[in-house]
Amino acid sequence: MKLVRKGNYHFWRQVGIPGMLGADGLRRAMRRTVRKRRPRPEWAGPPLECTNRLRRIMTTHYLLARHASGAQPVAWVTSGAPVEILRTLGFYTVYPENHGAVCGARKQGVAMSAPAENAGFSPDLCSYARIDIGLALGANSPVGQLPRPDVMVCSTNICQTVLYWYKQLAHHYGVPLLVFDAPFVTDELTPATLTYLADQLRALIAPLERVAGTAFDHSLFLEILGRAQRTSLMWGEVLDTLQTRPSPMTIFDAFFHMAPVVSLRGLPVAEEYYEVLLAELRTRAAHGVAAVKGERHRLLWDNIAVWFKLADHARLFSERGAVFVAATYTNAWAETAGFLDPQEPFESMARTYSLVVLNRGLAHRFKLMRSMIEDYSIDGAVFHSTRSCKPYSMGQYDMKRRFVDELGIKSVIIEADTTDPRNYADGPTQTRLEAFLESLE
Amino acid sequence: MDRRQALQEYRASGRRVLGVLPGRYPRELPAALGLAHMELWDPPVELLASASHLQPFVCSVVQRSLEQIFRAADRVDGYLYPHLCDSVQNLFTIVRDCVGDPRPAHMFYPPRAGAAGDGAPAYLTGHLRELTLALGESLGCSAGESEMAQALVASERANGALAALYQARAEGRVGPSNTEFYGLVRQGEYRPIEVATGLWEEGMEALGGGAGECPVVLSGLLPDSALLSMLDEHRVAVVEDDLLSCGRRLLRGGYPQHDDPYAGVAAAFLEQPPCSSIASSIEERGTFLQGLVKDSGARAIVFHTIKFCEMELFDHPFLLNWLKERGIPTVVLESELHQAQYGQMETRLEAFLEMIS
Repeated sequence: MKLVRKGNYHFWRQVGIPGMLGADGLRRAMRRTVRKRRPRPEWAGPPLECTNRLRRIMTTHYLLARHASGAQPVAWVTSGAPVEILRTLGFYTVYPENHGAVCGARKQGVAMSAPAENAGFSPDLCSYARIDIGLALGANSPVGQLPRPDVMVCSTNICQTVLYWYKQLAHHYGVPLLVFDAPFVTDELTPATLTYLADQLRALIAPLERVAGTAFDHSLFLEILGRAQRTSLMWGEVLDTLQTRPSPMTIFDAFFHMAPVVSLRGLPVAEEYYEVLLAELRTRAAHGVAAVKGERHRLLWDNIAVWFKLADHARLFSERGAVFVAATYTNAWAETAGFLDPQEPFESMARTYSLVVLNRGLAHRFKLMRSMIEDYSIDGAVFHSTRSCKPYSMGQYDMKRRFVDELGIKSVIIEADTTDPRNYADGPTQTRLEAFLESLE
Repeated sequence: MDRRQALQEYRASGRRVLGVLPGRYPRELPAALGLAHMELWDPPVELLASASHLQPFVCSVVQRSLEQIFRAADRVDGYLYPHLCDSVQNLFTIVRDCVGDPRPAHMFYPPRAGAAGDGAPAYLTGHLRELTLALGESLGCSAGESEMAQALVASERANGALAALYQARAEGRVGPSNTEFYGLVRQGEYRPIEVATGLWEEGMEALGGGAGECPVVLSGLLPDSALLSMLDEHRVAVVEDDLLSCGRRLLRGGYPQHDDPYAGVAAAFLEQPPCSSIASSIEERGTFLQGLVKDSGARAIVFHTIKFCEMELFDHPFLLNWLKERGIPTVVLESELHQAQYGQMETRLEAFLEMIS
């Protein structure tokens, strides 16, 4: 049976999905010749050529996922999970957070959450979690069904919410939940905490070996670790190109182009993708190709995107020559990659995965944002206070005050949500953002 | 004695006070350092300054804790934040890094249930050593092995006194009102361990009053005073609890023994009942609650939760199903802490009581 499933998986990987995507590309091209193409907005610079490549990569990832069950061990993992260990053991990894974002961007957040809410999960809970629990309880995902997990791997380095959420999913699916518990770092990593973290990473191997039915290959692990580091560092270089004036890409674009570093980190496809994207962005920067024509204001975004309003927000700002060129969110997958060291893989992974921005205090975040303001020549900041993410949102009122008082940076807070439009008031938010944009003039 | 009087007493005696935010923490720590502890989420205060720092979707426990911090200026000497949840975590950094409170602040991070491997006891032991040192340095005090050993002995005795009180209640040997019982139990939130122990030992004799008629287990975060009064009015007897600030801190089976006092404190902490705050599994929590119901003869479980409390709210659907499959009736009452109106909650409770009576 497993052989059949493996055969099926490899068929789809090598023949079926490339064929489907080829046919889809042909269909799109035909549609373009038949239908009149929607004109690009006047403010928009030339589109990134890499976008089609990204679409193919992520579509392949989700399509292939449908055939992964039984062919490969499947792990559902958080965005901050030490995925290099799972890649070494051949796991197909699924990122429920990324799936939540996709559903949000497709404006499916409320429909996807409904089964979870009907089962008693409060609408006050994280909307990513409600979407994924909703999926488990029967909601139809715009990306089709995700493969049933064989194991859940959760890291608390981004929030405790993921742990509460994964606990429910592990209970529902009846699969093991493996926890990489990353204590909040108040100042520096203490010896007790570093040892705890590194020991947990080592301890993850045995139960994952049991699920995968294969032995851990340390040399392959080091190879994957090196690739993951190169990918993350390259993602950092991608973001660095946005320091150029005019910026060759916006952060709203980066919200999509970060998908491989989040979901496919450690795989060759992610590394190769950023090589191409980086080359394209450097060429654009060298030739002064702007993502937004007439760039006048350079802005910083704090927190996850309002996925269901991304296009509207992009238009609102871009029409006025305001471009988001930096974000704490996109930076999170590049910030600590420098810590990785093949000489002490587990200790260095412990640093990499625990010293991320959300696992440290607001003093660290303020320092990081201040350096972004200098490096990216920022004129203003938008703080997205999202009901779905307390660790990211709590403290923004004070951060905004510090931005204005200490740095003289104009800032605005919008109250919204990552995927749930019921927590978003269009009119008042638009008014706030317009007033903010006027203040930049 | 209430918190204010206790604070005055500490001040008058020159004893330094450690403000402790909501959550489970090793009470041996302040005791070993000679510090008085003062848990800070109660009594109810009007929300004034906190609203300019916290979004409306932050739970009322954390909102009120920040308000207490603003009002505790010049009354406490430092803070200990048990890492209860994301909101308490960010409260820590808001106060320390943004509000500019000059008093030393430290975080206690308990390991989460299910952390990979078996390193939790060693981590917690090391963390307690580091924390004791840091607290001592910042507050001008110190604790050696012998002080920690003494604190552990005192804590074990306190736990024994409280466990006996709980046992007597479960067996119907003391029949106080719920309000009286928790008024006594909660003395431990701000009275020195040895004083609280004495009160609990005396409580076995002193508590009187008519017991309720409908025995239930109470689960949730805090024994909200209005809820307790409501239960009293409806003649509901809480015979056991799974409250984070009460029963989830109680070792019903006694303390594990260790030569190293720090390892002993860590082991005792890890022996505490399952809790949503450390993400104990549904099965663990369910089994524990089932045991409480069985041992106390309760007819049902009343869950009380605070709006926006993710750790509790996430657990309810599957935990309630788990209990329902085993024939245990449950009801969830959700409120803001110390809210003005409880009418809807009372109606819900009345309907539930009719069902189980």
